Amino acid sequence: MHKLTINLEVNGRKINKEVNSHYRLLDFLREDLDLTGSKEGCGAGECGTCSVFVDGKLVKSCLMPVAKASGKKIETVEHQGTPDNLSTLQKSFFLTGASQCGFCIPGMVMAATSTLRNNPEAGIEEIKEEMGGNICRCTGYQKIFDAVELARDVISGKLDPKVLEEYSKPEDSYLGANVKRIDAPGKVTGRLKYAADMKMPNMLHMQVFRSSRPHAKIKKLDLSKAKAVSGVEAIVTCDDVPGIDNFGVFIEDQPVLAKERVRYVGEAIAAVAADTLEAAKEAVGKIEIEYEDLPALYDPEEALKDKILIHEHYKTNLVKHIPIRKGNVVEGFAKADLIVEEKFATQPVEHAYLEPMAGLSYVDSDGSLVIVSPSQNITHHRHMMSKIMDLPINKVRFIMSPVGGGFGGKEDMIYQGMLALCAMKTRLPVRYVMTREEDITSTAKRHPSRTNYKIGITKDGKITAVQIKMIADGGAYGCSTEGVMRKAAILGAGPYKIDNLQMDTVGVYTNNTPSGAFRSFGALQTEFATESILDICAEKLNMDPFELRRKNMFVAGDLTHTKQALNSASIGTVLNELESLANWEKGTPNSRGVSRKDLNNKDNRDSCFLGARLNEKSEASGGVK
Amino acid sequence: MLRYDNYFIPKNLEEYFDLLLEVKDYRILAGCTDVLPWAREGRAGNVYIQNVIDITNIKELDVFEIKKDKIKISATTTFQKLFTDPQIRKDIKILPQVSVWFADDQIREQATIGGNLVNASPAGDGCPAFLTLNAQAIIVGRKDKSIYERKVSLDKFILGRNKVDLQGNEILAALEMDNTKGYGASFEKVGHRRSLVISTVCVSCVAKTDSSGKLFDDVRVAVAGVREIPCRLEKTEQFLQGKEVNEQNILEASLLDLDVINARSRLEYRKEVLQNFIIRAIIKSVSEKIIIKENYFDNTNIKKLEEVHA
Amino acid sequence: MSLTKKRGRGMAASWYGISRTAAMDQAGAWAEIDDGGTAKVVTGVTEIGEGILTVLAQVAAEELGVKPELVHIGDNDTSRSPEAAHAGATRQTYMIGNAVAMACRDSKDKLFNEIAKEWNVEKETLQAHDGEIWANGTNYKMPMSEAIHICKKKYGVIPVGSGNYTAHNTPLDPVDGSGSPWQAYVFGGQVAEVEVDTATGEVQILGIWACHDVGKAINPKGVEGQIEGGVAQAVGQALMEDYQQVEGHTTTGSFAKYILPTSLDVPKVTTKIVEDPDPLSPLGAKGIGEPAMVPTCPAIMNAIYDAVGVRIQSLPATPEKILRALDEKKRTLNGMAVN
Repeated sequence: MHKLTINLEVNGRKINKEVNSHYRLLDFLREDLDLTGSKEGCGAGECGTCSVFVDGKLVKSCLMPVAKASGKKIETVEHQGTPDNLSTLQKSFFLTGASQCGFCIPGMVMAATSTLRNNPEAGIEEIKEEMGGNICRCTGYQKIFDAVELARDVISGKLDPKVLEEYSKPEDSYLGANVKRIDAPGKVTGRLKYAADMKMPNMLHMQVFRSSRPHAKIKKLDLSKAKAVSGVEAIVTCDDVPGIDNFGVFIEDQPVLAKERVRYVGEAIAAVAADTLEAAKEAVGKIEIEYEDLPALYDPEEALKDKILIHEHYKTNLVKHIPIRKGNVVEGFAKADLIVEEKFATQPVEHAYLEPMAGLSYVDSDGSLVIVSPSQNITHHRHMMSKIMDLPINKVRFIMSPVGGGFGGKEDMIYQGMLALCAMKTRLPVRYVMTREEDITSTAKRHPSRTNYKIGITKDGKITAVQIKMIADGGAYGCSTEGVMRKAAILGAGPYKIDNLQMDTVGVYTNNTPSGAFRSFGALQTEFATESILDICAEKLNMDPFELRRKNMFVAGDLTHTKQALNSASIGTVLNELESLANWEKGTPNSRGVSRKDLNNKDNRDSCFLGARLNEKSEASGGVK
Repeated sequence: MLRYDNYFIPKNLEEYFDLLLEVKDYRILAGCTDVLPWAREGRAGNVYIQNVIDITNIKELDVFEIKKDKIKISATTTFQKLFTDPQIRKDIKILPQVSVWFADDQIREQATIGGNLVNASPAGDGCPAFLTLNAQAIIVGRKDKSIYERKVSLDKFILGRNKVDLQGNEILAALEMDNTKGYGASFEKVGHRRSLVISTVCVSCVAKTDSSGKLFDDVRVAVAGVREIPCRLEKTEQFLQGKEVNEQNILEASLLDLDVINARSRLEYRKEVLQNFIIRAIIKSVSEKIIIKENYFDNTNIKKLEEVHA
Repeated sequence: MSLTKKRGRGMAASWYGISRTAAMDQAGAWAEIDDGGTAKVVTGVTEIGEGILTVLAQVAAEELGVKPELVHIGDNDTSRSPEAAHAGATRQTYMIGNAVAMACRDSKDKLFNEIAKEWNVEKETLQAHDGEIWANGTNYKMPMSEAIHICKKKYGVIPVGSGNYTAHNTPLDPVDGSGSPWQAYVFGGQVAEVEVDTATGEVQILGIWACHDVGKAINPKGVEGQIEGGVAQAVGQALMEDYQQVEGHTTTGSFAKYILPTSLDVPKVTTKIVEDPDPLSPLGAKGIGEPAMVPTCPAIMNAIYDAVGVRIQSLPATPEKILRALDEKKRTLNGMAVN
């Protein structure tokens, strides 16, 4: 690999070093200087986790070739403070609870530092604009803004620095106290190491060869040219799996590496371990494959016909059907004064945790296989891995590395098997870091859904019958489809007493990206339909939407849709508190927005029209404000 | 991943042109904010170029002049400079407006106006703003050892999607544009969120009224995102020249150039938004002199010119 | 045609179940009151940003009588920590919080046995909080650092405790789905206020009011943080996120194409926590992680309907869909006017 010599200053230290010529400033900081506080959340300038100061200007270091930084002064998050000596801004982040998974936080600290350096009196709109290039997936930004405003006021002298030390707590208890997050200091200083930040001596780098076909048989796989690439230590395929080759959250239908056929674009077929990332990438590029394309299924309703089978030994594409039956819907609809039938749909959603999947694996000095990864379920992963690698459970060790966001997306054991195979084969530590693109296209998504909904209701607003059918595209492998269907069914009809209910949720295999666990797991999809259709009913019945919910809501002792008696049901309290919290003006939801009087109270943010720093007034007069 | 063996940073034009004679496989880099995202999976994939040449240190390209009638700024000027420079902010209002809608602060510190123009993406926002300033592209080249300069008006410089008028060893050196002190300005683009937006419709407008404040005198409207090459709306501009600033005229003007749209998808949507944006842009650009209310245009069903006077 | 921005409000209610669905759930933990009045807690906890480590430190502090800043939570490692299962199903505060509480009670009990001997008082009179231990009805009081020293060095007892918590969820009947899938349920609701730009169909969510029952809020700021984050994710799904594939090939494979909400897109979120404690568990706390985002999308769609009279029933509600629906609505109205 070609090198160049770079001379620059990093965090006050003069550096003179040889570096790979194609490295970006981010690679140089992370790999050569071990300053891993700056992260690669996307590598394409979209997320801001790589933000550093170059000659006082905040830039995205994933977009800067290292040579461009020559002769310049670089300042990274590591320069802002240490866990035992936080900057005022970092202390503010600590106090307001601004760090959750922490992966975006070093970038946020840098963006906030830049904002306050540029304008120590920046108002909230300016702060938001100047931090608009940094994405957070966990916090919703609010407590980050709070932190920046707090720091601004302390630095300007408006607030006493003492406020940064204390948190509120009830007098005699730590329950109900706003104790500062114990993991925050490591996160706000960029000191906490996530899997991609970890290095081990003699570590190899793994890259994955993935399917370019949605559904095909693998006729021929030729690794010879790839193996000949200098630096390649091992290439693994399904043939390297010593034990029972399958994994999955509910059903174990997925092989570690594709076996005889591929079922979705992006499915892993082979993994290369080499001494550099570049050699591993080059080798992946030299793997040759011959596919025999099979007809593919992209629509779950089509797939249900079972004319083409995605998993032949299951003899059907139905992954799971969960039925719930209560009472008699025919009688229920007969009692209704109003029947409403509607269709609803939701889209597949990407988790977009800021930390792309990554992990390390090595064989320990006692022969144990060790996997370090941000897995959401190391207990289950260990079970599956011991069976896959044919090792006793106590010889398989899963260590959870700090998780840079999960939301259900890090529950599938989608790459740890490949890592383990490489580690066992080479007997060297192996690291794998997914690119953002690889993560988006090959890992599980939120189930998209199509729901047919029929509701019967009396003219005073009492629900008499509900019939729901939801079909969900489960993608190529089961993942959490069974559980998602179950939760969607149990909760879908909402927190309402319904005597006659027919609920069916159906998850189906297709050749799309697998669908899996995602925060709120099916309930989001079905409850979306319920809460939408209830508003439609409220309009037709000329009722306020809160009233309609109250008419039907559970109370303690009621039976749920699965006939469980509730020992408590706080929905009544919740609705009352909500109505008053929002200062809701009662009325029927017949698009009365133009006439309602409860709009635009102080708990709204301003409508955003860029240009806060230009002192531009928002829209031309005539707009609503 | 973008891989290359050699990274050259020529310090002057002679060194740059000499370098081009020596290397065979090369790519010119300015801010790098387009090329690094491009060399990734789903787009160009893994890209290897033997040599890259970074032109941001060429000293002859370093120009930033604001004169009474014209301004001249280097192609390697960053978008953030257009946002923060106090005189530009005060007098050439379209530039900070287009800048604040461009990506985000960090990327603006790196992205150059030249890189953006030479990339010639149909969605590129820089271009319509510069078009409303009657920009001239200043190009330098070297022939038979002597360095020359030529000027081309920006609308002729952009030839098509990712194609510009640069021949042989030429590079875009600078832009020369009108100093629009005294003009109002408006820039707006539509997107699915408020930051880091790649847009399907954007409208840039620079306008002034006559001394009475009642008549349009020099309205310039340019659009991007809706066609291969950003362009000025000539019919709209000609129509408004000298006319009274009122809702009727603005509405009629907004209908005149809608056929500039030449997009591969979402045609209906783009047409509707374009017309709405044109109206808004004109209203905002003259808003320091005259207030036109947006709600006049609500519930108007006029989509064709014939209906205006019906 | 329409240029102005119109505002509207909508609401939605919701409910959710806590811990593993329709299957027994379990979690184990170890606790030890340690030198200096500090504490060690080890359990298979998976911190993914929700704040569970801090919650556990607070639970341990409360149960053991030490300061939360002096509690150390061990790493999650299948070879080093007891099983507490996964991060998901909004189960960790409930399952692991309760397991840790049980383990801490066991540890404290062992310390109290020795201190009761030391002071010659009934164990029931002993109490500890915030680093101090005392015997009610007497003058006996000392720092926990001293108490642990006495316990270990004088009496030779290391107060290690262990605990387990089980949620007796039952599977569902395969025909009619009847069963008790969870022990604990939470209820929630949200109101959304939106502004629709009728010139472009763009929607901005300006305010969300959220009211959620969490049983018992161990760290209220943490609960707020979960709600604010869940709302932001739901805003993304409601308006702009859309993973698309064409014949199995992904067309939205990067953050340039897959659009996430930025700091400029999220609403101001106002939260009210309701506490309806779970009667079946030691702490009474339930959960918030997932429930936080269940009512948001319908509240937003209901608000858009309130603002401009179009109802989007297929997510996401992109500007194109809204403008198309507005045009469709106008055509229908005009059609009716003509008739």
